[in-house]
This record gives sequence, structure tokens and C-alpha cells, in this order.
Amino acid sequence: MANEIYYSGLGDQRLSAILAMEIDLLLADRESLWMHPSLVYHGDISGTGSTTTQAVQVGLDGYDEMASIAENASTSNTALSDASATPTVARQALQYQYSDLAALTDSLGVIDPVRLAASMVGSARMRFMSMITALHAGFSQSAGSTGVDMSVDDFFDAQITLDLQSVSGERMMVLHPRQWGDLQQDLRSELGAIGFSPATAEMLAKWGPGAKGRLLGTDIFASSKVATANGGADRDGLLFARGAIVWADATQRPIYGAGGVITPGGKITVEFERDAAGALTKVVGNYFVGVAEGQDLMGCRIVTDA
Amino acid sequence: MAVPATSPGVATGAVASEAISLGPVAPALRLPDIEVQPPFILFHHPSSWMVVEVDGEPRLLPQLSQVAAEPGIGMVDRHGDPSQMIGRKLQRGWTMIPESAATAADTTDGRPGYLRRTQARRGATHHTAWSSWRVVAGRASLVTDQPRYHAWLQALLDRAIVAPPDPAIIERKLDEGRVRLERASGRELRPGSRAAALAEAARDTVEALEALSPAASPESPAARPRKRREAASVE
Repeated sequence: MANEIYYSGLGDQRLSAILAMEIDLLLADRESLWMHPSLVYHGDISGTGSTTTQAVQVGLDGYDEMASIAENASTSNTALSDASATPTVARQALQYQYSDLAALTDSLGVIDPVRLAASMVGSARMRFMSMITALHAGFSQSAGSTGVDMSVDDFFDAQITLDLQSVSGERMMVLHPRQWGDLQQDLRSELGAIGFSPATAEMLAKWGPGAKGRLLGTDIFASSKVATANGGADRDGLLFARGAIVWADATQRPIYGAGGVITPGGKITVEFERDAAGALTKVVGNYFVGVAEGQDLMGCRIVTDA
Repeated sequence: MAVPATSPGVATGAVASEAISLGPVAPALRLPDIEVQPPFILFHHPSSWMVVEVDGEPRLLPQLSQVAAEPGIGMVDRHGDPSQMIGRKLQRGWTMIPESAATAADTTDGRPGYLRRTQARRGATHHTAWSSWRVVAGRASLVTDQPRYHAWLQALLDRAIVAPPDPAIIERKLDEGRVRLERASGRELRPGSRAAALAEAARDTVEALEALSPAASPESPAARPRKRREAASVE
């Protein structure tokens, strides 16, 4: 026999692969605390005359205590204590560039200006998360031991540290997944009941899989963006209450002269820049945001093995 | 046909890094995906100390903070000028560790300065001079030369760049360490278990702090946890 028609012989009529009509997102951490109520939003700086907002903290309503004094003695002045938190807004950006040929052969809708613009929202959210976790190292209080896995003891040490500073209100703990894993391992070996409630459907719907649940009244959020500490040996988690971290952002004014502008997510501006000679299109996303430490003693680092 | 050990284009082994001060990014290298970390300045807060084992002996060394120095983060302005952030930290009692505090003899790669930058797929990532990225089969991990890093921390104390711990801080940490040790003693300590490792760390902490604490003489009540230590022994 001869001249059978085999697949392997149809090089000119068959494709090496066809693209599935569904695209999967590459695995990545997409969990962010953007807009989370545990972070204090200082507002929008647009049109305020400065890139920096300053939230004044004053020692009133019980900060200064009265003291006993003799009936006929004169009192003396007490200085009014104050401080401030000042996030400075700066530009955060991301740029893609594609050729016309790449776009016109696209069968999936990926090399598409609108799809890339929409993706910028996720990029801005994750940049915000990285900026928040970068603040952890700046807090002066810490719990945990270098090179030692996170334990329930570290959890309590951090809580007690905030208790000692009279920190009130709900607390949030941001941990690296390694720290969260170690804490779970230690929880399994705890004697007696520990009040852990896994994340509810509502929490997951609102904050995504990064929300792990509540341990003894503290919300736990895991993020791979939590930075390393001690030369890379450890991770730098944080327990904090509302007021420890503040942020501000800005809304862009209408941009004139741009080829095209989209503002997905409200604050994020995506512009398109055309290079006709090169048959190239640039997609540039900008987000103007700043984060800063609010009150230092409202946070406690949790430095444990990476 | 022989199968190659790694796919073409995927780097394996140590990833090159460069000695830098804060400044423009060097040309990108083709690298696998590694986490991006911002440039930082090292600071020390007088209450931050850690116990590490140096030459088999637990020692109390400064625990440094890698404070990010990038526009938009913690009072660093839009040009990347960290002076406002530095000023605030110094005002609050932190000590800034200058780049010059790490000499060529101190670092693992024999170059001066403590900040290193490695170009990653999604941007530059920053780490200390005692760490380096290693990539095996496309997966990256940060490897730290702990002995040299700890030796440098000791040098910061010896060169008076970081002040020694205040006795009140030692006492407070000693109290916390004893509570931990007591809790660890209550657990079943099988050799090599996680609980045993936690107990060992608590014991090292108490031992290092007792050596520095004038109040913890063998006869004083403060030395009592040593008995608990025996109970917590994994032997």
C-alpha cells in the first residue's frame, strides 16, 4: 500500500495548535486591601495645591488627665500634644506596547486596548497592596523570633503589644502565606479551644481568597506581597488597628491632546499612544497614590521565619 | 535524543545582582519571575533586638528594619527623595544605618554597601548584600548568608553604629521570653518536633538575655525559669 493520507503528512493543511476560545489567567496573587476599611483614606488630593495630605492627631478627650491641686494654688499650662500622618501621593504606572500585526491576528481579545485597560485596575490594586506591605518594616513594635516559625505565641504577643498601648477597635493581621501556614500548624497543636472562624462567603466575596478568617476577633489576611526581613531570613507581617495606616490618592483632570483615554476603576487613567510609523500602540496606565504610617503604636510587626 | 536538564531560556543557579545605591535601574536581565521588592534604607529602633545563635552561643543582635524608599511609600516624595521619611524616623529615635556601614569585607559578594538590586521579569527587586536569588527549575528562592549577616550585625554594635540594648529593654524581653518558655514547657516535646524547636528558641532567648541582664544572677528569683528549662529539655 502507498499514499495513505496521514495527519503527519498534512503539514500545509493542519496547524500545530489551535487556541482554545477561553483564556486562563496566569497564576498570581491578586488579593489586595484596596479600599479596605482598616486603612484610613485621607481623600483625593486633586485640586488641593499639594501632593501631601496631613491628618492632624491631637491629644484631646482624655489624652491629658487632670491632676489634684491645692485649693489656693495656681494651675500651670499643659502643652497640647499633637502629631500628624502625611501620605505623599506619587505616580505609579504600567505600560504595554503592541504592534498592529499582533493585534490583527489576535483571536482571543487579549491584544485589545480595552482588555489591557481593564487589566490596569488589577495592576493598580496589587501595586497598592505592595505599597501597604512595604510600610510594615517602619513600625517600631515587633513580635516573633527570627528564624522561628510563626506560632500562636507570636499572635498573642502582638495582641498584647497593642493592648499595652490601649489600642482599641477591630484589628487586622496581614501575614505572608508562609506565616499563615505556620500559624495554622501551631493552631492544630494548641491545647484547649481557640476561637478561629474561617472566612465567610461574604468576606471572600468582598476581599477574595486573601481573607482567611477571624482568629479571636482579629481579621487575618494573607498576601505574598509581605516583604522579607532580616536579610531575607524572615517575613514582615503586621497586626494593626484602624489608624495605623493612612493613604490618599488623586483623580486626574481631563487629559487634552491624548489619542484616547479610559478611566477604568475611576482613579486609574489609561491612555493610548499611537506610533503610526512603527505601527505600534502603547497602553499606559497611571494611578496617583500614596501610603504612610499613621500612628506608629497602633501597629506591631510580626517577624517570623520565611 | 538526550533531554536537557532545563528548558532553554530558563535560568538555573545563582542570579546575578549588582551593588547599588538608590538610583536608576540597570539594563534588564532575562530572568524568571521573582517577587519585586522596593529599594530600602536600613534602620534600627532601640527596642528591636533578636536572639540568634553565633558560634553555638545565643547572642542578642539588633533587628534591622528594611524601610522602603520609593515614591508614594511612607513620606518618600514623588522624586524618590526619602529625606522627609528619614527625618521623621530620626526624630522618633530610630538609627539610620548608612550604606558605608557595610564595607567590602563585611558583605558576602565582597562589594561595599548593603543594598543590592536584581532585575526581575516584573521589575527590579532589592535585597541585602547577604542575600541572593537562586533559581532551580524556574522557581526562585532568596538565600541568605546568615553567618556573615549576623557577623555584620555584631560589627554594627562593635563599631558603635548601633547603641547596645537598654537594660530596661533587656528586662522586658527577658520577661516575655520566660513566659514563652513556660508555655513551651507545657507542651509535649518530641525531639525534632515543631514544639521542641519553639522551646529551643525560647530557651536560647532567655539564655542570651540572662547573660546580659544584671538582675538575673543564679540566686535571684529571676533565674527560676532555668528549672523550667530542664523540664522543657528535648533530651
